[in-house]
Amino acid sequence: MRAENEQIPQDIIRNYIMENVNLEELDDDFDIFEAGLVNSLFAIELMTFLEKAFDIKVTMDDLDMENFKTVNSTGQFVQRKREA
Amino acid sequence: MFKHQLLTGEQKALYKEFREFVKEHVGPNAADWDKRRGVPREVIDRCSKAGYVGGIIPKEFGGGGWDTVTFGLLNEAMGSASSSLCALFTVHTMAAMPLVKWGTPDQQKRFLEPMAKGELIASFALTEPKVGSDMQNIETTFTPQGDIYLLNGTKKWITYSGFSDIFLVFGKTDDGKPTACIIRSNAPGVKVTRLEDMLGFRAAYVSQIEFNNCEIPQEDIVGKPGLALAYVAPYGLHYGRMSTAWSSAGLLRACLEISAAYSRERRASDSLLIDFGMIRQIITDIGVDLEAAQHLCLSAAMADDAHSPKAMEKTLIAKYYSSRAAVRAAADTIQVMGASGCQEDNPAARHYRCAKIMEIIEGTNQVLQRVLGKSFSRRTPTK
Repeated sequence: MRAENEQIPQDIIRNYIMENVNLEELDDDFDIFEAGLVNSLFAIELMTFLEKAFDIKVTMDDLDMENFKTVNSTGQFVQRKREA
Repeated sequence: MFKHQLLTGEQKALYKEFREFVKEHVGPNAADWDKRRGVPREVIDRCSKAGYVGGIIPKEFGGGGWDTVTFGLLNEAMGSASSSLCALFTVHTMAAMPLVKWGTPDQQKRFLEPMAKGELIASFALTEPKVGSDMQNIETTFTPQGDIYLLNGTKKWITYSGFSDIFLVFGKTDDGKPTACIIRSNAPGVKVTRLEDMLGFRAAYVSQIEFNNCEIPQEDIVGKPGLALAYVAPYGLHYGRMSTAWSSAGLLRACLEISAAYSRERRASDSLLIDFGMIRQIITDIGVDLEAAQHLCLSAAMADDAHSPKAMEKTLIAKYYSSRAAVRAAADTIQVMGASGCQEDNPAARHYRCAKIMEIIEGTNQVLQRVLGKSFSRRTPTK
């Protein structure tokens, strides 16, 4: 996971979502939740992935769908957590 | 007995302890608890004292700090003798784990720490009479009034709610935001009514709960309003499914032990039952299902312990397979035993009734099919 940490979060997050949703392309500003591309478990799966891949802890204060709805918003959230 | 080379020495030692506990305190009494419609309080207190009720809760909150595999082994051992007692660990953990992840420090001190010691027993109150566990359409409401919410609605078939001290309750705010809170069972406006004549889980205090203008302070809201569906409920349901998967595997093991022992002793037409090919086929099917269920359960729990994003899906698979296999095994065990298996004082009859419940709780298997079918389908490459 350390090697992954040195990549841009957006790249890692995009790859994870594309792999799990079986997409060949994904725009970084596309809202995957609003589009109904993911099942009801995906929010927690994505959160678990972020915690493990970036060695961060998602807390109640972070619970805001704005943080996770697109690749870009999720990547920016990860950056903020790592800088905190 | 669950034997697996992947278990650590500590996990094996605790499993041995769980089985000894079951042999001494659970197996001999489970039928009586069913008849009396309740696991006695002293048994639950004994489980609390042994550290089983809060075993999976992290040590920082006063729990046992077990890994998920150990929690699964507890459920397997208990589930082999009493689905009703095992359901206590299911629902208590379903209420506890969302508090571990999303609870405020104040909620963790007031609720989680006593839950870890078994001083507070909790239930997970999601299911409703009209919509089941379809959270998108639940009718329980949180209406803002000044600094508090007023909770109104009815929850039904809530396991252990006839015994529990607190409930983790799910509803929606007036503007449709899924919300969760903790409420005490003796709070003003709460009415609990036992449902005595359930098919299975008869000793698990399954009840209906009515909330009539119950006052919920902001500090008892779990997570944030609007996110209970995406984050709070799935966290609890995940551990409920983990528990149910392992409990079903325990029930499967019990069915194998009962049917195999009977077929080695009972004679028909001057032969032992086990010497008939059709009986061997039944025993084979139960044994193979047991082996598969144990592997799926272990795979799910190990994924959870590794903090894998795939743990939730693996747990769905384990629950789906184990519960279906438990129903098949219990029916086949009755078939092997004939009329004697149909008597209420035979454990096979109780396992038969309880196995069916496993296919329904923590998301019916049809709900699981909806999720898993789509997931498996998405994984296949498009042409």
